[in-house]
Amino acid sequence: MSTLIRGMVVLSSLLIGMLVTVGHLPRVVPDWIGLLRPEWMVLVCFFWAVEIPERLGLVSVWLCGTLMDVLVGDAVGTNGACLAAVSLTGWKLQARVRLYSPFQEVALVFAMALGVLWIKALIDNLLNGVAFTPYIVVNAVCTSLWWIPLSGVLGRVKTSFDIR
Amino acid sequence: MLNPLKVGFSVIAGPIQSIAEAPYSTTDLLIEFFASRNKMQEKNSDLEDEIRELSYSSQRLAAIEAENIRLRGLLGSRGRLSADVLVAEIVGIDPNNQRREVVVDKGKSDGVRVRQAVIDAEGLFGQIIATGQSNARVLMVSDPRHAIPIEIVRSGFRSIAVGTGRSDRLDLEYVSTTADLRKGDLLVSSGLGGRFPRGYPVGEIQSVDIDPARNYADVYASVQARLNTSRHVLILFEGTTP
Repeated sequence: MSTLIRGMVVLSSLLIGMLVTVGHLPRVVPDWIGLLRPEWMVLVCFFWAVEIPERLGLVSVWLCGTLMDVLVGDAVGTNGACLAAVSLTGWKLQARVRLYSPFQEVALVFAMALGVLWIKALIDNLLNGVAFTPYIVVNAVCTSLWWIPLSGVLGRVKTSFDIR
Repeated sequence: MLNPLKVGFSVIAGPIQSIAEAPYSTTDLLIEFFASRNKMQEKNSDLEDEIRELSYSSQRLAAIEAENIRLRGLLGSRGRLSADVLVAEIVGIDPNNQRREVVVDKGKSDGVRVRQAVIDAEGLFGQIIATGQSNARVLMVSDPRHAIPIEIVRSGFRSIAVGTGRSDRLDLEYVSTTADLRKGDLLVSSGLGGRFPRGYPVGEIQSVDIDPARNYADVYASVQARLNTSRHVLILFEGTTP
């Protein structure tokens, strides 16, 4: 399988992550369901940062984040910096994460997601005066709970396309 | 400084937003396509009734407008311009629960600018906060960052309606416990501050809670605009009035 196809698969997973982040829930669904939505891009970037650290570049992650900023209307640089920080964490801890139990992995993802959400909330607070909300903890919990099924799916994709 | 970067990325973001919105627009199209004949007839009959009612209202409004212009002429102030609007379709919704924003398919190339007011068929929807070449971001009235000067139609009492983050609720700030407010009172934009034109429906008071121990009453109102279900909105240009 050519490197180009493998690259396209990784890029597609990032694009799908963006689509599910930007896509809204059906209008009939109550507002509070939205609080259970995970930070998809954090999960996807962290997975690829751990699995193929030498392939996922900081610049590409930053560009993805900037595109996210434009898509969701965040201040330019917010998502870029957050996703770059998540990827850096993945690169630094990739050897350890492979030895972690699922519970430890979930705990690590929770800490990262909480950090990302807190940074976003802080920027929103400084720039737009939006009050801090405890719901970011719920959001971080949901993100961490999605880690096991999502890493399973992406793991299968990685094996199927022999991405190394 | 980062604006050109944002504009550049918005060219790529447009198609992604359209793809994300595709399941909903396709579902709407399919529902419309497969709607039974009876339902279509019922809908048609309802729409005809609505047209008749609106036609009657617009005739009355035309008479009132003419009288208004005549009275303004007597007072020496100039008559207002008739409504100048641009129809836009909602192509994206901000998934963030803490913010209430939507993306519409009209942008700088259509003459849309930041701070323009946006309405839907029912009432005031929000305002433009960012523009791309072919799209714009609208901050809805229910966003916690949004505040709008309003007045009560019945009593003329003025206040500020602030978004709560819930699509069905606005809070009225600094309302004195002696203010003349009742459940069911209609709120319209007061035009103060110059951002929103005067007289557009904003909401309806749902609850007035007066606690003698506190300086201000707790007042909340429903939102008149159909924030969750509208697919088309109108962008108002300066100098417009209902």
